[in-house]
Amino acid sequence: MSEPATDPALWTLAEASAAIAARKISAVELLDACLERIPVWQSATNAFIDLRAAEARHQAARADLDIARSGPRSPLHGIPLAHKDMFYRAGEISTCGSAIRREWRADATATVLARLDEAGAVDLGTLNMAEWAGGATGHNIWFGDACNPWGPLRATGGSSSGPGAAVASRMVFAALGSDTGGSIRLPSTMCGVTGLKPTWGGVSRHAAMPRAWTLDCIGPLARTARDCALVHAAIAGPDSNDPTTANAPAFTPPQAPTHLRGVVIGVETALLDSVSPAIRRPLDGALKLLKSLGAELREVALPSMQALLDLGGVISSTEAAAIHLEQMRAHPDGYATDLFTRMQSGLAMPAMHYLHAVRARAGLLAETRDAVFAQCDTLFAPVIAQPVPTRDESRTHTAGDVGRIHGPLVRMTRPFSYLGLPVLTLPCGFDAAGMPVGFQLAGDTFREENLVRIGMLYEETAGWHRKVPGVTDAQAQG
Amino acid sequence: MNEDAVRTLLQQLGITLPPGRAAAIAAEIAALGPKLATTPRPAFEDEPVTFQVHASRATTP
Repeated sequence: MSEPATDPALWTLAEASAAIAARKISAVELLDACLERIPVWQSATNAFIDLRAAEARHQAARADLDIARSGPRSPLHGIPLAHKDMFYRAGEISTCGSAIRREWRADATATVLARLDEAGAVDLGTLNMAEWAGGATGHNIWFGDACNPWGPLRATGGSSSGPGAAVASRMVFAALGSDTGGSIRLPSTMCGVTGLKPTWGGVSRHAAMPRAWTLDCIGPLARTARDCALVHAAIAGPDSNDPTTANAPAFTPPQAPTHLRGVVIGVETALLDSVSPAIRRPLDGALKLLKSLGAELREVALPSMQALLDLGGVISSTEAAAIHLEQMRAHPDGYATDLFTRMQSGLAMPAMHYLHAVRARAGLLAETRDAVFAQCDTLFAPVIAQPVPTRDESRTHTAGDVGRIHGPLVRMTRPFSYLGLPVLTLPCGFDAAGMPVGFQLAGDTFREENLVRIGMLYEETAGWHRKVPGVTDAQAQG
Repeated sequence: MNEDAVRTLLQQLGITLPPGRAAAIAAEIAALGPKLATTPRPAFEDEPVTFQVHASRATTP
């Protein structure tokens, strides 16, 4: 197992939590360690939209008083976090990455934020994102692109671009993102951190900006699978304010196993074989390590892969257009041209296409369970097929660019969104240009614990989560 | 759905399309037809909510 760093800002969330519980560090000291990094890294990444340092300091001081009196009330007590700017807090501005909401103040607080407040987490501010969570690359014409800490000319991935960059550069210990077609998994992979897209219906979406109702999931980007589990445990569970939340058993962060003997990992060979040779070696390395830990690797094929992708696209574009119609009418100039153009297609989608996509989902979920999860505990797949693109080459200008650039990026992530399945992404090394490579582990509905357990042993053995971008990476030209 | 139908529908929704855009959307939607025709057909009884019910059944294995 790798050793914790000497700089507290470089600890994992779990290590920071243990240090607070043991009174080795105060919440204020931990916050100061994060704040010390922000001048350099905010300038390099543009991860924050609104840094709320004074409020965070107040929260940290209060956490220290509470902890001194009665000990930490959760593993997140006193831990600095920040979140994608789409989780509402009553009275505060939530921009959703849009010019239209630059001054918009929410009148309710998102359940996920209320639960993190209750857990005692420190909220350091709001993070950059694709406009209305509508992009896979991390570009934003209104607030500036988020930049990848491993190379500022590279894309962060989106739409949770700020969370990916802020966690990777160790400005915060974890961040909430949202995932409709890959928006947690793409930035976590492209920024070299860990992400957990939970099962659809596992986490309340109350007072969170909707992107597509039947696909949206809220989950953490963090430094490790263990850290993701600690955040997920705080936010998951039924919520009377969101009737779509399921009555699933409470999620409990698991202990790391000592081996993976008896664990069957399905390997989606067709997806794996479709990736660029430039990123294949780290993926093969991850499989080799999982096998050496005792897992049985079994070749499987995700059935109806193209259908999952196409039908997911129909739902995504139609629901997003329905959500945005009123605003598109009222503020046509308040949207980036490429996003506005993309929304128009959803407005013209025939109802029969949409209903077909929604009705076919149960059958396809059953088919996937039979073909994959009846024989495997989890499914291993790449997240993207190419190395992390530069921001220039992934910038969209026309409707044609959108399909050419965003389509390939969500090819391996959207199918799991359509099925509502939980997915954990983990870093597994770097390509020859020094950019992160990662993989995803998908599971059956509400089997997050399985994924985290495998992820914890993998990361402790591989140690990729200890790699931190340096200032030279931040200043490098791509 | 042809170009005119797309333009008329979006006009009714209050969205004015720039030149050429209605044709592009019509082509995009026309291309979806054959793609969706190859996807598995839902069962006669399947309702849109079936997915949620199906997913939640997994919570009580």
